[in-house]
Amino acid sequence: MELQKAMGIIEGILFTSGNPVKIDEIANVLNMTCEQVLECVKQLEIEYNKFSHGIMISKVGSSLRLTTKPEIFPYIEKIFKPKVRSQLSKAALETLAIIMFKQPITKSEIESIRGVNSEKALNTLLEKNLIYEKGRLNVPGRPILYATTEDCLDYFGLESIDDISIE
Amino acid sequence: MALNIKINTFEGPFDLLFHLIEKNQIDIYDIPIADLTEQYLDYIHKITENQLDLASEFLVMAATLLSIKSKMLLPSKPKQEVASELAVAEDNDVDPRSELMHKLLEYKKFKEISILLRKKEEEQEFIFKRPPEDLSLMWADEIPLSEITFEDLKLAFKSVMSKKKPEEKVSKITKDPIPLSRKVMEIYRTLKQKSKIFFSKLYDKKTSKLEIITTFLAVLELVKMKRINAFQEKQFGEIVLTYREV
Repeated sequence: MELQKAMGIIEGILFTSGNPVKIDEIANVLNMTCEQVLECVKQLEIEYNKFSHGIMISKVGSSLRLTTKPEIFPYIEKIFKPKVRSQLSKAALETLAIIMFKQPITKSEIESIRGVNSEKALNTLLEKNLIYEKGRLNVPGRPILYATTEDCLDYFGLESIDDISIE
Repeated sequence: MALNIKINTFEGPFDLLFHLIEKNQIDIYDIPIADLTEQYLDYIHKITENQLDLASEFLVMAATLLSIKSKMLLPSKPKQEVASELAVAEDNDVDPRSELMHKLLEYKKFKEISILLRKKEEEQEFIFKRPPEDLSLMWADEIPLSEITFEDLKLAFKSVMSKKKPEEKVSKITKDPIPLSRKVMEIYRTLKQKSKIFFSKLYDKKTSKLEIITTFLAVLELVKMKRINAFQEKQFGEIVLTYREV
């Protein structure tokens, strides 16, 4: 398929979805390879990078999403007065950081690192669908193993966990 | 209350230890355990003065610190027999602070990650996503209308119509009861004029039950005050009221 046409279709799909869409699903619909889709994304990025566009395309995990550019936030804020999004608590953020780099991990392992009960933080993260129960560890008590979701990458706007680098 | 907020700023014993380490610019690889323990306990004491149900994790850490401190105070064991020398050496070489140090370093790593995540989270607040388009109507399942006959419709209609409507509840709003004193005056004046009257003439069909009761009470009151006389020939019979000359 022509590159230009595919770019338009991808734009349309992402606009309709709102939520991130899997790259392989798009490739399937367009009868293209994932690499070809990513080439389209690259071209779209060049297009959107122009000042005449207020939207941008970004990769989160193995999905694509269409959002507004951060630069236009002051104007959006003025006209729509959006509510400030609620942030995760310090405890939830700490817990999530541990799960991100140690997944899959049990609650007791998290608690031994944090030195404090993490039940509430885990519940918040589960509720927000930032983590999920990946399975159970094969030890007495069969504790639940937690891992991060794709939504988690979307939440922080990360292409992958490696984006968070620690020296 | 203020202290309650204060403790909430520390996410646990490591967080508090960390705060103390940073405040005092302590080298994490060479922790002056006595100083740190003292400061930590000071803090715990301040909290427990006002808040008894302090998270047990804070107390466990206090105990750990004290244990490390006392271990460091003990003189290292003198070398014993050759047989156990190896085991003793191993025991003595381990700095009692090392476990704490490792835990603190690991905690520090994740604390730093969580700060990075917070930054990313805040960045995301400046961009907006559209809510997904509602496409449910476009691909709604077809309703198999052809299988429904006119007879089915008629039956359905009948069954709906035959269902009794729930009875409407009408509650009465009664007028404020007439004060007894006013009723007493009313009856007294009426009797003064007419000198004789049937009790039943003091109310009509529209009078509320409450008012009739008030009327009856007023009559009793007047009888007690010896202003009127009341006669009744038989049970449930008419009550005749007469004015009583003073």
